[in-house]
Amino acid sequence: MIKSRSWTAFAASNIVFNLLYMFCLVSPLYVFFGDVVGHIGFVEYNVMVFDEPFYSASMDSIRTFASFLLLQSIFSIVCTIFLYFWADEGKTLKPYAGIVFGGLAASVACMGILYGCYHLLQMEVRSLAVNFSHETSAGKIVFSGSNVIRQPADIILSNHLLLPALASSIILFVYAYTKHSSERVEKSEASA
Amino acid sequence: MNRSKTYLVFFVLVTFFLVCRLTGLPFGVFIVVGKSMEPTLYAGDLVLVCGKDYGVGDIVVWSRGVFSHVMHRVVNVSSSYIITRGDNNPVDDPPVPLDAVEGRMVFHVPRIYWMASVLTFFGVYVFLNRKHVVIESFEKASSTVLLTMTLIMFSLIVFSPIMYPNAASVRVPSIHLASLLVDGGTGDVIIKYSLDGLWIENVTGCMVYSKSYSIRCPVDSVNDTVFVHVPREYYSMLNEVGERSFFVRLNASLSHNASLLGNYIVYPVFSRLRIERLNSTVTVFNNNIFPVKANVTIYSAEKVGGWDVDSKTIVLGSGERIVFDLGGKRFSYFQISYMFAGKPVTEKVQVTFDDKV
Repeated sequence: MIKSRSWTAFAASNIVFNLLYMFCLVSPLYVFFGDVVGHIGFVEYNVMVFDEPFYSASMDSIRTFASFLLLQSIFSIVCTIFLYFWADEGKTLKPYAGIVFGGLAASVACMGILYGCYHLLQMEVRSLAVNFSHETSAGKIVFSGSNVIRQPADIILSNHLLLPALASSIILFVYAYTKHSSERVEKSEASA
Repeated sequence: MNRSKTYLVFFVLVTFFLVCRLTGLPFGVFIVVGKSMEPTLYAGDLVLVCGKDYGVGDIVVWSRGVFSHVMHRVVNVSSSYIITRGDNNPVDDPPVPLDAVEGRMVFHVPRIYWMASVLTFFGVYVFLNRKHVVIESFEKASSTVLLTMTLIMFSLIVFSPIMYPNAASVRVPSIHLASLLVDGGTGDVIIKYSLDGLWIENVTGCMVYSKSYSIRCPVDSVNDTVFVHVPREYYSMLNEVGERSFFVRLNASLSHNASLLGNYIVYPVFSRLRIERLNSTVTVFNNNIFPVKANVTIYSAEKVGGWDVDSKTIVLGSGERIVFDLGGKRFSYFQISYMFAGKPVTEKVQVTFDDKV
């Protein structure tokens, strides 16, 4: 187990970031009441429009991509735990740190995909959160409309709270690794 | 097989599928996403598409772009396009041009089989090479992770989801006017609707109005039909002022917490009184929905110059007839005056019994 404070701070920050990330992926972003009933999230959506199930090509695509993002997040947490609990500061830190760095780099790339999916999801929500009132030959048909309630995951995403969390994880990682490398150089110089 | 050969086979396979996808060759492997083809195909099933010899009932893949495909069942084929529909979709897809069809589904592998096979293979491989996997892959970890992520994302895009059009997914219930007519017997306005996912729960209000008069009317509704009980006197009033149409304003509560605000124009049939002479009798018919008040004057004489005049006011009910017998005198005239379409109308029938005069 690593006992350095900087690594502990990084591990805590990265796990918190990934838990937030997973929370955003797994939990519903919007809940509907009214003509449209149900909820919409990245990995799962269950929406009934006028008592008929709603299917969306975009939502199915988002689910596919989000499942992959979820796997990446789980992978990142596992790697961080491995790094913190199992790595030996003297010998095996480098490969573990390499994996974690890979995970962080993938997180940066995945953040773009996440926000792309988020944008698509919002478009779907906008298409559902409309009033379906319309006029026909029979007259004006007035529906009661739908209410959309934002969920905490949407508040996290819309306020871009994941970005500072990811940035702090990367900064802490770079700081911890740089500090660790310089300490090792100092030790090797001292021993020499 | 050594590593370079494995990479070569992988590269050739990926290139082959890419070429098929980009050039539209009728061969490809797809992964099902979505529920539109349930229970035939489930999300995650692997589908092999080959050849274009399809017909009604076959499942085909058609393209909406390089990265967007739809796999649905053919329900109709014409010379220039086909109509497809997902087994689980409520409505047909829009017509698909024949050249957009990429091929016919030959067979599919349920997700449980192919995913279990891949995972088993992967697990056995990792177990057999556990030392190399643990040590070597960890040393090249960061690049491996990034490469794996990139490959998966690339695969996701290439083996793009098989989708169904958005347009088919949301069906907004509606209600249309099927017919509107006036019952010639009762004067009721009968409004018949064509229901599409909505039904009438009850009619909350109804008003009949024109330029001159407006009244509230009792209403009954049965399934898709609404009966507006317009009083006969209302038609009579319209006839008096010369209005040939009126409006029905209807408020109804529908299913799904919806409401209907209908405003319909009604053209009732107004007709003149029908007067028929037969021998010494004159018959007056009222074919209108409403009663007609008329002044009848009968002129009769035995010789020219000495006329007997008999006047009276009658009210002819809807569909009623009155027969006047003018027999007994050598000369007689029948005259009737009433209001029609806001104007006084006078009709005169000459009844001459003595043709020599």
